[in-house]
Amino acid sequence: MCSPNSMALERPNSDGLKRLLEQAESPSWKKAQWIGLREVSETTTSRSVRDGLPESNQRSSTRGWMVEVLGDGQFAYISTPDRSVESLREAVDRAIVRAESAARYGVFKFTAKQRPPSRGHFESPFVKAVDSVRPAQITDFLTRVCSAMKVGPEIVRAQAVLRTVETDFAYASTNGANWSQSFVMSTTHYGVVSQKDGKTQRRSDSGSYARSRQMGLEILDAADFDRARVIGEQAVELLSAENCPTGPTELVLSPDQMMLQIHESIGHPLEIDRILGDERNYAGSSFVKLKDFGNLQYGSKVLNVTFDPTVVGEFASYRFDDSGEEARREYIIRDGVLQRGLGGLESQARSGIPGVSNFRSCSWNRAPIDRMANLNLEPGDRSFDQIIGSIDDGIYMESNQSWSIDDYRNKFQFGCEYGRRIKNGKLAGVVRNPNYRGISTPFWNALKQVGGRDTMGVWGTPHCGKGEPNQIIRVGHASPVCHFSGIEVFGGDS
Amino acid sequence: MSAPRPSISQEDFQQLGHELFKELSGDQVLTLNLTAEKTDFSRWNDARVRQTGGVTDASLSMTLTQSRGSASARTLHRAENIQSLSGDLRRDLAVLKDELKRLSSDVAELPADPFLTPAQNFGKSRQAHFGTTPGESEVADRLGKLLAGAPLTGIFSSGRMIRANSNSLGQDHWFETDLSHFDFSWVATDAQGQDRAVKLDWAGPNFDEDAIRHEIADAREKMALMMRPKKKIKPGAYRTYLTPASVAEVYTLISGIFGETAVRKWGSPARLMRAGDQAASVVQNLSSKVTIHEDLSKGSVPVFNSEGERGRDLTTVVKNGKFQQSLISRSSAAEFGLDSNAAAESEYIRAVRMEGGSLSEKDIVAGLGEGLYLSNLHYLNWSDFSAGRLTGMTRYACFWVENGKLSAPIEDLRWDDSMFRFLGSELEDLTNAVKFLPTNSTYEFRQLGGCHVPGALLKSFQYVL
Repeated sequence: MCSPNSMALERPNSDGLKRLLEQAESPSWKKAQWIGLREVSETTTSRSVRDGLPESNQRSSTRGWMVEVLGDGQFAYISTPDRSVESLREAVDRAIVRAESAARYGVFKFTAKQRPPSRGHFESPFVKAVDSVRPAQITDFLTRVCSAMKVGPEIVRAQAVLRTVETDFAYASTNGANWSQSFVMSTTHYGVVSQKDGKTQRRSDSGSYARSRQMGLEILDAADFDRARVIGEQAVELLSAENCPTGPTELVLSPDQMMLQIHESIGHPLEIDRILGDERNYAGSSFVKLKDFGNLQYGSKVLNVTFDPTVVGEFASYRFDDSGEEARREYIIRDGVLQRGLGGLESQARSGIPGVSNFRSCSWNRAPIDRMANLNLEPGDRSFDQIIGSIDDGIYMESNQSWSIDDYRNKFQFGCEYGRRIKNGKLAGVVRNPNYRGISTPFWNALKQVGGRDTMGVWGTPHCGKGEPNQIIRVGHASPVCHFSGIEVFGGDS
Repeated sequence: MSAPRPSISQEDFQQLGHELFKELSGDQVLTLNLTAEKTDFSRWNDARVRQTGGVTDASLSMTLTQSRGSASARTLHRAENIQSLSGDLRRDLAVLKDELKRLSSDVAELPADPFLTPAQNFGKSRQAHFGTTPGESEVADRLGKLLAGAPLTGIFSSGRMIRANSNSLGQDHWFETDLSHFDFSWVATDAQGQDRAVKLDWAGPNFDEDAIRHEIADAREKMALMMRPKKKIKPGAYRTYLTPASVAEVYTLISGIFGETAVRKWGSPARLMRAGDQAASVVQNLSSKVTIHEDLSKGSVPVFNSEGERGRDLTTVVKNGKFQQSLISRSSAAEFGLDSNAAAESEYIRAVRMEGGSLSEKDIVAGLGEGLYLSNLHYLNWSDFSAGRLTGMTRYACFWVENGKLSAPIEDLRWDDSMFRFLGSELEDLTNAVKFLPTNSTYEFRQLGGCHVPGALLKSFQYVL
């Protein structure tokens, strides 16, 4: 048996969990159809510098168990940070009581098929370990990024943030599951606020915390200083730019805005648990119905979207979801037609439609639900110059800064940081406050051109919120540049 | 029914502090902040259990401050380390002591923060609000009988929440509260297969079946009205009534704009309200009917912030439409040469209280005459932050009003308007009754607090899609 101190120090280990389940087993456990034990250990280190001064230096660790029991067709869970044998016995007994008392009201009679006995291990790749650079060196780097962004007195605030996350999952169950996964993830966020003559603008490194990948400290790169300088220069440029015009136009979106467009108006509406009504009290439902899978013309024929947890280095790549289902690349939308939902084994059983391996939780203290992981728009065959060159009058937008959509995922409105007019096939003057709004399926059916692989950007966000109780989870979105026709754009008041 | 068990006791928290403070050297000061809960979550879909579970969690933040240099050129350095607590004091202390060593090593090499001020002993406080919640074995049955097969979807959360703060200079604060929260939607499908929904929301220290039954009965009545044919409203400007729930939703965005750093450095729209600011060539005020306080006296949130400063019972942020007082943390105070008013570190309003007006509840719909009655708003965001323009959607029981009567439910609408209009020039009146809307946020931990707000009658509100 592991001693308390050694348990405190060693990483989650699925063989260890299997032994613990065997050791802790008691006669009362016979009432359960299945028992699973998931351990999560996560350490996040965040360092930020504001205007060249240290703003925050924080290291945060969380570790605990989710004990799951299936009793009479009902899953129940007890989450606890106490990882002792006594705690495990108590948690199983409590979960059995919960499952038995809730079973008569259960939404579905589940079986252990929704918790496959998977085995294996996955590790995300990285080059530089997160502790390979001293805090002082990291702070120095971020301070220099701030300096690079401060191109003039108009820059009133410059912030540079580095966040690294190390996560270990281990899972074992009474039907033989024994798997583990380890991730190293990094995010940088660089951003400025510029002010002059009563105007205020913001510019960042492709949107808030968008530069999120599965990688180590190799994320800090000398190229960051060049990008930082451009951020500052563009923030100043925006102060004297004309306001984005109002009216329907040809709209070209960069990959760092496509990220939010995909996320809000493809990802969330296709989560099967939303379609089944689980989220109606919080994040909402969906305009998509179960009967739409296989035949709804979601977008134009050039729209192809995949669920792909196999992309090396994308923010939400993994081998197993939190039920143990192995993850595979699947088309969600092909040639514009809706194929498959974003739902794990529980939702697939409840709905009867095919899904993907996306039953995920943010940590040990939240139950898994259907979540996006990596959701990518597949590249077409147009170059950036070909797309711009084909447009007489339009707007090009970069970097999301505002997002809002209704509770059925239909009427959306997005704001971006930076825009350019497109005139006679060329990028022209800068516009500030570029916003647009629309309705999901008409918008996606207005997709006219899709950029090729060399226009792709791979982005992510650590901040996708959903669920009751609420959870924030990581997602990845890769997209090429895209052109939409006849979209309502408008500017701001400032 | 029983009193919830805490995940960590005040004695254990004090004991942890006592042992950790012994590890300090030189002029190091350690500040501890505890967040803990023991919660029962019961999630339902159409009166059927979707997920059921219990969560015990406790997280201790250690912030270490250290000075360097000579007496005449002393600099302050700081770093933070947060660890989850298992509940086994011996085991936790071993981990925390190790992490404190790491923290000490980090602080020794980090540059100075010129806006750090030395920690102080800001005193002691204890707030405790106890109640009773259903036991683990009975919660499904009790809720099942209350829901009684009605198309109710949502979550019931109950249990104890704890916040605590102490430091090595003797400061010691403790806050604990029991809360049951019934957060549901009544969602029914009409003959065309479209959803119609009404929001239910009740919270209190004691699980109160009568109060929940009343919420359900009220929702059933509203649903009868919701099942009428829907009216499609063209984009445009309309007279509008925002219920307290809708006004509370607005505060999820604007409660952060009155911080001193937000005003000076982030381009907050409150900057336009400040006389003497170069951005405000003409000072913009809200309506003279608008008075907004941070009110810590109601007991829904701790009176202390993360540095242990004890906030005033009442800080008036906006008085009769004019920006009266920003929220100032110790860091902003040092940066801008001001006095701290014990604001939260991120300088948002922790407990909103907005004064009511003169509109009686019975006169709301008649007073609206012709326009839109919005029971709830959804997914707000800034469409132009610096100008104070927001966008969002209508949600739940929203109605077209004609001849002073609720006429028909509406198809959902997107709105986009400036706070200087809908809380300014276009604000006709506020209700005299002020309602408490508890927060329903449970990201990482169950959050505390909520808003005391009235409803708002607007001369016009802009709808765009």
